[in-house]
Amino acid sequence: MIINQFLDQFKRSLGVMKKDIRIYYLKGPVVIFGFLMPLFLFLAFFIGSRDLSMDFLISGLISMTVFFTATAVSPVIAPWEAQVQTLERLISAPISITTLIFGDMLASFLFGIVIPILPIVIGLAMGVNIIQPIIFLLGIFLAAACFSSFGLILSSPPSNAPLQCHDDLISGSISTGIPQWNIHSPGKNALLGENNSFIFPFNIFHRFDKIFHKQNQLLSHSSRFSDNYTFYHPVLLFSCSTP
Amino acid sequence: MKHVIQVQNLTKVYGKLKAVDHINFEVERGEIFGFLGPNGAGKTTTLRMLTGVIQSDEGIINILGFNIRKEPLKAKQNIGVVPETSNAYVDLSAWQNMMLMSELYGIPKKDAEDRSEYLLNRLNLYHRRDDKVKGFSKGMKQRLILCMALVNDPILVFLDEPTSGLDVTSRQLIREILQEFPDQGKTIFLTTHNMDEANRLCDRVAIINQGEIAAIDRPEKLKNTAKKLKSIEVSFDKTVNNQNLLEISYVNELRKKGDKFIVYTDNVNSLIYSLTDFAKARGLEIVTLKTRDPSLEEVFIELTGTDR
Repeated sequence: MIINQFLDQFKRSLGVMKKDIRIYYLKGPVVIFGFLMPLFLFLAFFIGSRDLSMDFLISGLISMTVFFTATAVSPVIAPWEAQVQTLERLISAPISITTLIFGDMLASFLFGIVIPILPIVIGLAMGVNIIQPIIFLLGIFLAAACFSSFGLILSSPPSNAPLQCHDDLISGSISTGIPQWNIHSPGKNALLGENNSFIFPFNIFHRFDKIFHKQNQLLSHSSRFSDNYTFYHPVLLFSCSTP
Repeated sequence: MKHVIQVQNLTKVYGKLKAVDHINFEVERGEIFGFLGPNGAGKTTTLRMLTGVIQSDEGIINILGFNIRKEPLKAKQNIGVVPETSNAYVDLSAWQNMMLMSELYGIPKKDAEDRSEYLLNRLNLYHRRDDKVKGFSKGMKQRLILCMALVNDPILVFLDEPTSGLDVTSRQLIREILQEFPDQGKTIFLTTHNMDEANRLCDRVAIINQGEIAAIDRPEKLKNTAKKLKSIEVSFDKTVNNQNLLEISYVNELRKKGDKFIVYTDNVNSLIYSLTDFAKARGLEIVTLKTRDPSLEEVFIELTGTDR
């Protein structure tokens, strides 16, 4: 019964994932920023210091690609959806917050493992050997999962003020290359302001409240967020769900 | 299960503001229940609590027999929600939006496709199914959102201002569809500030003002309670002096409107008698005689004490 329910919710999270991929990921800029930027960094190192071995450079390129693709869009999904009020639709559907976050994470995760195929192919073409393929794959999987969760953490500071939110979107658009300001319209932030509780499900992490409270204070250097809001931690979610 | 919605002592507080203050009501199966109130009265807050989008601070909500806080997923499985603002995914096509919703409700693919095809056809969107929602007009978006809310064939549908700002055709189409629901055993919970719509659609209405329920009843009964707003519209074949009319019994107030008189009264029956006597005595012919009930709007203004 519980397993069925779990599977059912998992299937629904795939729906969320598909939506994320369609809307947020299948855009040229994500691929470009996820792959081209690391490639240029790689070239910079490659040309700049010829002493470094190819093994070292390629592994650096792969890890950078995993990092940039897995964290490319996840920080903006929740604020953006809150802004355009599609989040309300998701929340009123029979899916749990965990399912929703898991779906977002899966989408990032998938990109985090698919796009690095390019640098791997480059590496293989340049004659780099993979000594432990299984550990290598596990490493990529784990990194993609952690980085996509990390991306979600960045989306967690709730912003009540529209300007703050707007700034987030613009900085988000700079990091993702997707122009997000075009969806901004005044007066649409009410949902974000009003309903932080469903984006930031601190009830799930109730026991971590004190830690988060401290962390929030440290992070924001003020008590602006600390009283009313709590960061949620998909990494914790992830690590809790991993045996 | 007689009551599809049961609400007890529902309260939501934002800082010092009591957005919703200990409200109680029940909605029966097959009913169209209207939730009326001026802007900021707590309509949308209540609806968001009922649909599990925000949590209440106090009180119990049972949706289809499930407590929305304790068993949210079960409660949400058989409801449909049409939120206030258009919020289909504009970067997806109408069809993709429908498929996304069916995935979120865990509907098997074949059923989802059949149902989506039927709904999009019914709401006149099927020919645009593969177009991105970005290019849709407001009316089309709203119709799509209704389709999305109905994809799981819900027993209970929540609608937040479903027809506000729409053109006549879209509004008519949406109303037609809503009116079919009670026959199919479906229940509708509708928030609106359009009195005309509430009057036409609703079996019962609750009027909420400043977070409290001012009245719950059938629209016609509510109108009856506001007795002093009752009036008769009368016109004669010849010109009649206002003063003469004012002198007859049971006339509280008189207003001239073109060649007609609007006569306000406490006692409609006796006024009609005195008007006919008046006409007879003066050899006048009554051209029209209509009893006018107070509009729901007049009742609303009286109950909420606001002149919107």
